[in-house]
Amino acid sequence: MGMTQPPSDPRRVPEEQDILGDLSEAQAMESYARLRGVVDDYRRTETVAGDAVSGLKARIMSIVEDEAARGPSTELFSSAGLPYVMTTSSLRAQVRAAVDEEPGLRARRVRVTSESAPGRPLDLRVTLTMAVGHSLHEFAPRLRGRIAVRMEQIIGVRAGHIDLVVEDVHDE
Amino acid sequence: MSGQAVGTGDPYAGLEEVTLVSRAQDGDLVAFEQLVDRYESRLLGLCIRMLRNRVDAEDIVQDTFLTTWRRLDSLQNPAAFKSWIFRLASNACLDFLRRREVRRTDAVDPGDMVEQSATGPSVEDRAETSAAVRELDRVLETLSPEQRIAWLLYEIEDQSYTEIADVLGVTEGSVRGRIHRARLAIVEGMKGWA
Repeated sequence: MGMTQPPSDPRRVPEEQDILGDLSEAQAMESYARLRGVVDDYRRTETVAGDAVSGLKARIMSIVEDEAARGPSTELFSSAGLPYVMTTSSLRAQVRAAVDEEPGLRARRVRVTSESAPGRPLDLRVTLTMAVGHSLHEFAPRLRGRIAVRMEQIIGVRAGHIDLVVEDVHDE
Repeated sequence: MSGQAVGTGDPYAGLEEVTLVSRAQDGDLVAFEQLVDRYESRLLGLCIRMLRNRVDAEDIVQDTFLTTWRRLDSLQNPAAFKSWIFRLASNACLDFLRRREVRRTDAVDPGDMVEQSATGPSVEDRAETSAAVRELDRVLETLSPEQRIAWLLYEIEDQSYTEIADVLGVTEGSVRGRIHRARLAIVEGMKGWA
């Protein structure tokens, strides 16, 4: 951790000037360096938080789950043309699952890019990351098929154009 | 929450932060929970060291996570999540301390003071906590909130001057100045220990 000092600041308030009056900058920083062990001990010393974090997380997630359940919905149409709705997050989760099933891929975001209408397939834009050594050309047809099957079997709608965007390459 | 963890195995194990944030932006609760796991203790520790009151610190951390959940879609760059969440928590701490100071200043009736939340040491009062650490904790309380948060982000959170400037919304030079002045005050306050 650097111990560089900023240049003297003429706007220093009087209290700071008093401190500097007692100690030169160099002496002060030498003294601070000698306190390094105390600072390290302070960092390692537990705060009074103790084990309270689990209760806090439970409270946070309880509120978040309630809000998520009331989140936005996507209107869909069955093959018979009957309308129904599904939470948008659930629809996206199914598409993500199809991506995650493909070795070396990790889903990021899912967007429905077409208007839902009776008899009309649903277009998607899916962003993902790909492990080193994989090829978009190799997995793209297989992944599009996998997503389409899952859409049809679980969500009950046909997939149309599926735009795949590789945002990043990750190590596995 | 496991209802959304569809697929084989644990698709969240080892996911990089940008992916977790992106998924959380799409309403993925498991991804958001992973982010809570990553930052909860760090934010709570920071807020306790700032406010010296666990209940107030927990309130701020809870509000911080709820705000991130509700505004996640406004985050244009998922890679900036860490900076964003520390900014929300830091600003909340500084606002809280300003309000507490105003209440303290405005309170003319001693009875009004009861309404204020009590403060104490920020570190565990255990036998293994050294006297020097307790003294440092006491000196830190005398710093201005702006100096204290900068010092804590640098020394405890190990953030760079650039990262701290981003979190606090000030220039890097200002961060350097605050940390430098905090160090001078620590040296002065701990003369017997250096």
